[in-house]
Amino acid sequence: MTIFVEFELAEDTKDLLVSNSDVVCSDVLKDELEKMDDSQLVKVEYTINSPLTILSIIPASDWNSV
Amino acid sequence: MVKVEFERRFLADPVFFDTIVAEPILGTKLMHIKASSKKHPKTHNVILDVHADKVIEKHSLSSSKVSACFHQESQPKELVQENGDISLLIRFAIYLSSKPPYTPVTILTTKEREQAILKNPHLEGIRSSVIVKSGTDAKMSIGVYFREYTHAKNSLR
Repeated sequence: MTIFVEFELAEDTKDLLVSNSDVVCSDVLKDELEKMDDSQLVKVEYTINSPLTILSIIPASDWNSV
Repeated sequence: MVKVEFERRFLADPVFFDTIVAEPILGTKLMHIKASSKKHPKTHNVILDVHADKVIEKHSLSSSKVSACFHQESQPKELVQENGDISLLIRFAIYLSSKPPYTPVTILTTKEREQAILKNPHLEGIRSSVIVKSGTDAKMSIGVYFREYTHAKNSLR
């Protein structure tokens, strides 16, 4: 399983989930994401499987903590 | 939408990580710039993957720490024959600036390397599509873009 990490704005992750209904993301993660400000920088772990799956979404505003 | 149209892209000379490691706030600012770019979403700041490998080894950093602030890009096939470290950096900057939407590129480096880059023949005749910044100038360029990002963010509230 190949995991790739993307650093992006929460609004981009929200857009992905809205525009691609194939993406798998748990309800818990979706709820956490919805509570985040659109401008929040997040570290997202994806697997490129069929379908693409989001494993984690972690706030990442500080380079020291990533 | 917290998206900003930055004037120039950033290309990291691997030695610029000496500066980032010494001042991690620069890494934080670069993370936000990279993520909020309107023209180059998630790829605004770039480092060649061969250079990223050097950074990871030299500073014992994780790959994600590098990719948090610079998108790692493979060496284009047109440049695989280029052996010179500085020539590769400059020619890759020229390559990036030649791709739509034709955003000019700023190479971020250190004071010690700047002169060697400026003297490289590949920079002859290039006035604006590729420029080089180091030290305080490099930090100021990052600071200006970070302020543009925070301004865009605050204007949404």
